[in-house]
Amino acid sequence: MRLILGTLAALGLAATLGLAATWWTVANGLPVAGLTIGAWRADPDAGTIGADPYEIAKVARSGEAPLSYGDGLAFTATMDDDGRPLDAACDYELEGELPSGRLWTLAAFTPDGRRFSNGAKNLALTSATDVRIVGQPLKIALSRRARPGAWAQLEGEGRFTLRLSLYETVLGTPLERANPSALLSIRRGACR
Amino acid sequence: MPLMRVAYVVVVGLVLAGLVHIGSLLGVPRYATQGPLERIAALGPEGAFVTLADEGDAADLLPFRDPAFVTAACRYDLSSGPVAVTAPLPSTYGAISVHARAGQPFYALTDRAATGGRVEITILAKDDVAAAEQEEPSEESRPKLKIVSPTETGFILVRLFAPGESARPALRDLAAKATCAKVAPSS
Repeated sequence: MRLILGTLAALGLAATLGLAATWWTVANGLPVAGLTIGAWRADPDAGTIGADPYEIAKVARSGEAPLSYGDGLAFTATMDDDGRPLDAACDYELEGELPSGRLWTLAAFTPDGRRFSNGAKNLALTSATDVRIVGQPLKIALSRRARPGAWAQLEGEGRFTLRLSLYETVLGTPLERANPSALLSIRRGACR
Repeated sequence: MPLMRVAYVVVVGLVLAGLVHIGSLLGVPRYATQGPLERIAALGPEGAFVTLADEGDAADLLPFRDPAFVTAACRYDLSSGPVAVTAPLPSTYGAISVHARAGQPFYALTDRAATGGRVEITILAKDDVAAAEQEEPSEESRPKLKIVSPTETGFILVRLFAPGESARPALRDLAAKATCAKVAPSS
């Protein structure tokens, strides 16, 4: 009787813990893997054929087609610099320098990857449409209301995820990965 | 002794949990029903590029797809022979990437590698490599790229950067010119 109970307890523990670990890592990725710069995180290896089983499972679950290593690198931020989740009710200011690359784009998504907008045209800021002031770092304002300079309108409700994609960048190379340059800081302003 | 017994049960449970975790993790891609290839399969038959919608709910077919790009997708199946892909890549930034069954790209080119604004790639299955190597080199000036797919099925994405909204219609027309078709068996 005690043997049966012990076996059932061990099997129950195994199933619960094992499946929970799979569920969590597939949804969130391994906490130690990837390239983290400030609030931004990227998985450079997910875009190669050498992706590890965690990255392969994550792609299969989310349905995202990862960017190839030689093509570009996509960084995701779900929190600001102080660790608070990004919320459309607040204003945000992104500031900093980007590593050299051919092109960058910045877009907002819902946490599950749908576009964060009400269908308006201006969905993304890119290096082609960006406004820069000579001698100053790159500055981007995210707000529901119009702001001077480079401004992207937040049109949805609730939490969102920022995706900063750098194309033809050296940032994903192993040398750069060991000593990454800084990316944009994310500072929260007023909330309404 | 009950404490020893509980500890024993916990240790056995943890070891088995590790095995369950590894097994279920490796099984996820096989049993996933909403992977990138399955999502693209909803667009239409294989062997032709389909330009993904940029507006409405259909624009969210592939999550986290960069909205600044016009994207066209084509599924391939190498079981009945190699597939030839041609794609126009404008110099504003265009990229073609070939993805394996599970979605990982194994080959990518940007417009820097394009000759005359186009690229041509032939995708081979592992079994077709020997036959392809025996073929006579063609006299064409355009270099022919031959790549081997690690899986029999997969998909190709052509992504063209739109510097502004006004560039989008022309880029969609350009993306529609991309082809991916079975190679006609050579004589």
